[in-house]
Amino acid sequence: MKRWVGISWLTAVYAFLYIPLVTLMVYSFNQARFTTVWKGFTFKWYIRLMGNQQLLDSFFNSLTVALVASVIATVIGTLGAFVVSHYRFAGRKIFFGLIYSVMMSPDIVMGISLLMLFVLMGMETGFMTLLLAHVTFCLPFVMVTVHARIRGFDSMVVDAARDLGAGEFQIFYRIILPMILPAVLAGWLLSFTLSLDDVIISFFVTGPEFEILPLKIYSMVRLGVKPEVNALCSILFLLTLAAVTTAHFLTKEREK
Amino acid sequence: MPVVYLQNVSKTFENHVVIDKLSLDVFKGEFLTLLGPSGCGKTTVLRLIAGLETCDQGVIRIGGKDHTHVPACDRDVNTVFQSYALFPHMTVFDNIAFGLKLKKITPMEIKQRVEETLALVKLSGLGNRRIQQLSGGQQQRVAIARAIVNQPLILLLDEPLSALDYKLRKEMRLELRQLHRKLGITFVFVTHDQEEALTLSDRVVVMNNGCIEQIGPPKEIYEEPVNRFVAEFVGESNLFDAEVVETRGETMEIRVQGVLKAVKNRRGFQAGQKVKVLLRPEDMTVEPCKQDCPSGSFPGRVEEMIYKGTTVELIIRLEDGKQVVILEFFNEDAEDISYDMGEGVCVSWIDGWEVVLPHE
Repeated sequence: MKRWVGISWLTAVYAFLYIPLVTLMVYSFNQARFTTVWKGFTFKWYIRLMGNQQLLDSFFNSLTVALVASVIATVIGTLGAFVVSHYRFAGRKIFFGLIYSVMMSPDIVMGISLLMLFVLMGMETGFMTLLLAHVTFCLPFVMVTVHARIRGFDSMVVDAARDLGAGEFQIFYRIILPMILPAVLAGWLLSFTLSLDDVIISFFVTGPEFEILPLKIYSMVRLGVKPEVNALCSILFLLTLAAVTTAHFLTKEREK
Repeated sequence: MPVVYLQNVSKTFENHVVIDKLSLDVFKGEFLTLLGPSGCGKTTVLRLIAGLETCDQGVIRIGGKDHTHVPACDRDVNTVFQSYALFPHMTVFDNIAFGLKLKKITPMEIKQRVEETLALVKLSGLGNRRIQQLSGGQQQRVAIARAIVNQPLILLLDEPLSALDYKLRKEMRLELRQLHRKLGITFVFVTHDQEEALTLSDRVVVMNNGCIEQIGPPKEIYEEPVNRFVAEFVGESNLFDAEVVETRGETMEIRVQGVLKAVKNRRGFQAGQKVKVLLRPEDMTVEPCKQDCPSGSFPGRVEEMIYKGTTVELIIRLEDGKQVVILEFFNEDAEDISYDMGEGVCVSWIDGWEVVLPHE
């Protein structure tokens, strides 16, 4: 009896979470153009998607920004996490706390403040501003992920390496980096997905010449949800899901 | 010339003095043990020699050269860490080869030296294993191999046996001694286990509160402790308050527990001075009390009798309430040692086996 209550409760929760996504994916295969009535199975929206040059352009723009921003954020974030956990300096804890507050701050606040900054600096909004903004909001996620991993292992390992003749660079390259690699990759994938589907911050900091996919979708939806958008969203969702799952397994692996 | 030479070395962590003007010589090829309670600074001394900490004051010389400001990676010293600190992402072979690879030794020679060292620590054939696949005892051996493969001038061991179970610990003790003899490297060993210190070392350094209390061979530390701390930290001991009554050159008469006893006077005590008399449990004797105790012995009652296999430990309450621990051996004279609880006994000690310490 108790078991059934548990199972149905769980089913309800998962239904609540996944019914909208499943609906979206199912309708991306629907023949009908406007109605929400099922008119038969088709791949045509996916094929039409391939022919939409504007959409493809914005998709490649998104990919470019996500790739570059996540790589930069990963490099800076990893080094940052290493420094915070490896060296003792005044205000280390406050420093790390500030990283969390960036992570928690509302997107709208980040977006507006970054826009203000760029305007004050006289920067033209476009690829560069978008990239800087994405690096900014990805950075804390990398730092937190990598930091957790560094703290998870015996700090004496670093002493041992030094004792055996390794200098600072060799310690990082031969000991720390291989040990934290799963967390670095996880942080990178997380950054990549965050960057790929960000709407709010990007809305403020990108210019008219540089259109990215989430914003393109947003503008398309304002004229009504087209089946192409459903198809596009399904692809995006699966991409994100794959990245997040991989990231999860990479961080999980250390517990073995 | 000492291979390691510390002179007036001090180290402070966050306003807490951990090492206070400590001076120490370590001789070439010896097995030196730093013994002391936790927090006495013994591990810090080790880390100072390794170069993993820098001293605030003083001079450190290794192999005759000033090493006070030489970083750890440039010192001809290797450490076996308490937690082993093995590299989890490498195989056993790569762990051991790590130091050699950094020294740019040819792969051929690295392979040969690693194999030799693996054989030395009895891990032949396990080179391809991952660290996680090894037992605690095997990890310990890898940690030792990783250090000695570099043929350092000095091998530092930071409580390396503390994580092992009793039987394995005794086994490893023996192996460490054999390894020390075979390699001829100077060993500096840190432990809080007095039995380990006594059985392993050529010399023992007893430390307390960042200072050295006594340095000497194990026998001297045990039989001739210089003060109460050393006496009580190393081995079990009974301490009696006493007063010097009369001195006669090399001997003197003291009053202890109301009884007059003739003892040696090695430290030039004066009549009227308060002293402490130290007696190890095995140096004391006990006899059933017939009527009165013979002169020079104290009456008491048996409170507890603990059978320990080859020995019996007797806990005796003297008449003034003082508790004494005595160890009796089973031998030809006493095949059966048996006392009733509460039985009256006479307690004394073998003349000349006492140690008289100044009163602190």
